[in-house]
Amino acid sequence: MASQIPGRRIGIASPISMPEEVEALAASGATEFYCGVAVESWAQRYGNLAWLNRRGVGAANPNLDALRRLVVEANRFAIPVAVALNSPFYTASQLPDIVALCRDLADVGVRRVIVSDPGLILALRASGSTLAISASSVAAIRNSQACEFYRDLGVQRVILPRHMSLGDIQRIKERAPDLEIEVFVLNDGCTYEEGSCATTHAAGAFCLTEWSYAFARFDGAPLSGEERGALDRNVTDYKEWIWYLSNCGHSSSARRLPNGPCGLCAIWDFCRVGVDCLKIVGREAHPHRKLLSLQLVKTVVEQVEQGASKEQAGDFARELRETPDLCDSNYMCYYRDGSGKER
Amino acid sequence: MIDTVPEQKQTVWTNPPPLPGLRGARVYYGPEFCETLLPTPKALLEAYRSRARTFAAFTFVTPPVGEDGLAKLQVLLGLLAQQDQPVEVVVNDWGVLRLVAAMRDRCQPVLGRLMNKMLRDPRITPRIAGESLLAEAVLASQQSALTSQLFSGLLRSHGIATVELDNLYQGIDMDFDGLGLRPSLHVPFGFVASGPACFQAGMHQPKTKKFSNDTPCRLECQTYIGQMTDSAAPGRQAPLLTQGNTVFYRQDAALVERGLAWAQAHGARVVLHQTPFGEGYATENIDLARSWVEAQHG
Repeated sequence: MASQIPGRRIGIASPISMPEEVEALAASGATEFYCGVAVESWAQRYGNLAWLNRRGVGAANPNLDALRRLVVEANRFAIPVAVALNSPFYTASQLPDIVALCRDLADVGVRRVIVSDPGLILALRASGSTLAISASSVAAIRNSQACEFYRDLGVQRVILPRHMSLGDIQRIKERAPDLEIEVFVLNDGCTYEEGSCATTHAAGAFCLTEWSYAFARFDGAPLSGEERGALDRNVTDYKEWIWYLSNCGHSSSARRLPNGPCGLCAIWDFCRVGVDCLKIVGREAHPHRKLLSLQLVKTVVEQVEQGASKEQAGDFARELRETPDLCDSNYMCYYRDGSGKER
Repeated sequence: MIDTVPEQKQTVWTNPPPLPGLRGARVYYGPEFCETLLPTPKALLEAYRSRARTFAAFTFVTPPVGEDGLAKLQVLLGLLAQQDQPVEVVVNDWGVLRLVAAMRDRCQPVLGRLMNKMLRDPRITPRIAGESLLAEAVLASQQSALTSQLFSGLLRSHGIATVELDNLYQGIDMDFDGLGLRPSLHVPFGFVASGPACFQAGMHQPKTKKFSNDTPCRLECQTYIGQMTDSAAPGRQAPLLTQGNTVFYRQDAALVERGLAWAQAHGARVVLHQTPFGEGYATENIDLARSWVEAQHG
């Protein structure tokens, strides 16, 4: 079947954390890089209570010198680099340091910052910064009016959060056509909405904690056997769902391809509705995992660009993964309404 | 989507009638965390009219929404804008704020708790004030983006005069007068994390339908509540509750009292909750709030 996809190409944003990763990721199809940045003075002032970009200093964030080398390498392949400054908020006393950091970022050749906090966006605009700004998924922009809100602030791109439906992504793209849209496509799920989560991973991931549950009815009546059974089964299933979100227990397929949250089947639809960029998650992942993740995404994108139908692209993605049992669970899908198979 | 539940059940909330003394308070009606629970236009109008007989003022609380929720809210807000008295609308979504700001003469926007990002993780926050942590770090945990004049100016430009906060173990240290904003403090439950995937809705669904943004809802959150404990870390138990799509921490008596004293000192109003997910009641009368909490929560 001939492709219904227009000719424009969809981008792939790959996570990166060191200059040595650039060449292989560039050769495997990355069109954009994003990373964090480590600032020692920030860590000394705030410790683990206020991370600069939702990661600690040691968690695969390059320092400014390494970032400079990373950008130089990326420039060899004409691949722009974005830096995440995506803490849910910054206080008034923190903003001047971050605005100064952004000047340094621009000086080393960073093109874009990924920001959640409207206060930082306004501060960057007030400073005259020329960095492009993506609204982070942490901003939890789930509808077209929220897109317009961030566009009015000066954002050029919105990274939509997890837990979006394909239908909403399409409508957002139609109703906010002047904004670039980036969507999650692979790895690292999240139990809650990042932007509605007030915990910190500095104490261990709240959502991955092995919680025990004790349920009660509001009306004070004892739980029936049926209710207790349904609640217990739900907890068991919930823990299994979290296992999927946690990259299927950080497992790999027989061909060592990384398992975990996945939107490969939805790539055909993303191309059709005009999504601008696919986001692979995992700044702190092992370089090999980043590379394999990118190759997975790029291979499916190529299938779509070469004219695969929606069904063909979905079948191809599932075969590529070689984990039909994981795919059939539904729990590994970022976009359950976009999976290649109707289940 | 609401699954096999009659429409009128959407108006059923779990709260018992408020104490007589709260009859002069402001009522908080609406689903703060869950788009699925948005009332029908008929239910909203019934709620507005019935509560007008009991309470001094009406606040419509709105959740984060996708495109469908946005369309529903456009209708609901339009209805509220036609009522005799202007209403407050708590917004927990920047897109919803944009809608409300456009009708601010009839619908006064309030910045919701989900929009006022602060550290609420009760595994950590009770220890912050008691440990010799870095002073700047402690202060940052007691503040939010509100402290930025640019941010607070943005809020004011959208018609926001009141901002909602949870009562935090580490305390709150912000100059609201200087920011031109009025605080509104929630007691005795604070949220920890929320999201589109509903934990409890899964209990009545086949496995493959669970934990999605479109898992059918049978209003399980109106019947059940779960207490969460970390069996691997008995030394740092936090009083956590899960209801619907959200996890809450229950503020202990000492924290509630600290919060009420803070509210009194800062001219804040207090939003009282019988259950984490249900209706709320806002009052500036701190003595009344104190007696209500003691009566309801011990």
